[in-house]
Amino acid sequence: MNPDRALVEAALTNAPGAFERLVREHQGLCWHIIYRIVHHREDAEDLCQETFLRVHRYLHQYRFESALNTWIGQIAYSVALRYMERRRLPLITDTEEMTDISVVENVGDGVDIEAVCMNTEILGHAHDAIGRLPPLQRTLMTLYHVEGLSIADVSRITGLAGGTIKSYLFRARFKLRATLSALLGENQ
Amino acid sequence: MNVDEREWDDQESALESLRSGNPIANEARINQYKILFAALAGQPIPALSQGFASRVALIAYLRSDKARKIERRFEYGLTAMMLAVLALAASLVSICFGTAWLRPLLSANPWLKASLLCVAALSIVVHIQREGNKPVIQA
Repeated sequence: MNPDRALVEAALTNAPGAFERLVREHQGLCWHIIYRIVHHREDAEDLCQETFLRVHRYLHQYRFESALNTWIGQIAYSVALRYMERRRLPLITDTEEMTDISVVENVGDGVDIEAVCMNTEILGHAHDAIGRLPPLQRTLMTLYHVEGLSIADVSRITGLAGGTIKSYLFRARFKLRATLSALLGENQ
Repeated sequence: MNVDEREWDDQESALESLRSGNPIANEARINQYKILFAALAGQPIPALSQGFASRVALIAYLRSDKARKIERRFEYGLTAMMLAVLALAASLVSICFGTAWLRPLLSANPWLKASLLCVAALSIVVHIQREGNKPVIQA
């Protein structure tokens, strides 16, 4: 039997510990989606709780047409989106600074990746740059890179077209590389 | 900004190389992406508080219909018990002191009699309503 189905059916019949197991299995994805959008620890935790309470309430409506993590991800995404709308916080910025491609072409081939990865200063700057991405790009990057979801799954969660997601990912990664190459240039 | 397919392929190659551990051509651009993706994977993110899952499961249970039914049943039981105690106390008072004390009180204040009648009528109506709301079990 599909493990998602077994877990959902157990939770629906109020089997002891089933819903708690469901939360534990999917809280990571939910947390990543919400925290990356909201970027506020306490609010993100409240929204995560709200997400799972909604999951509990509407679990009987889950039809197994998509994976359970995608379904929960959709709910988490919509809960976070509503939070941003309520607070009138932008999900994407209008004036995204795009670095000219020529700027990032001037770093040599002989970069020692491991040495750079050990350089906490560069990593710290890279983390800052990731944190400064607009919420939507930050979330898409997390879903694609950290959670390892496919563009199709990210599309199911966010409701964005695959091409749009690809474009956002491309731009975010390109922008971050530009920042990183500037840093590497300074450190070389 | 349109997606530059060559750049996109480099991004994907870097990601694939990082995930699989397979080395790829030592090109500056791909290396930079690898550093970037490694940084992204290792980016610290605050953790959910301890016991989050069990706390949420408990709240979900308390908000569930089953818990509400149990709570309602407990409330009814408690009310019934208090009424029973009240009735018992009234009976004991009547046995000990008779009902002579009640008659002058009721005749002196007709509103008290009317209020008691209203309370009695209301409780009958509530009882009938509750009986009517019970689900019909079909064979």
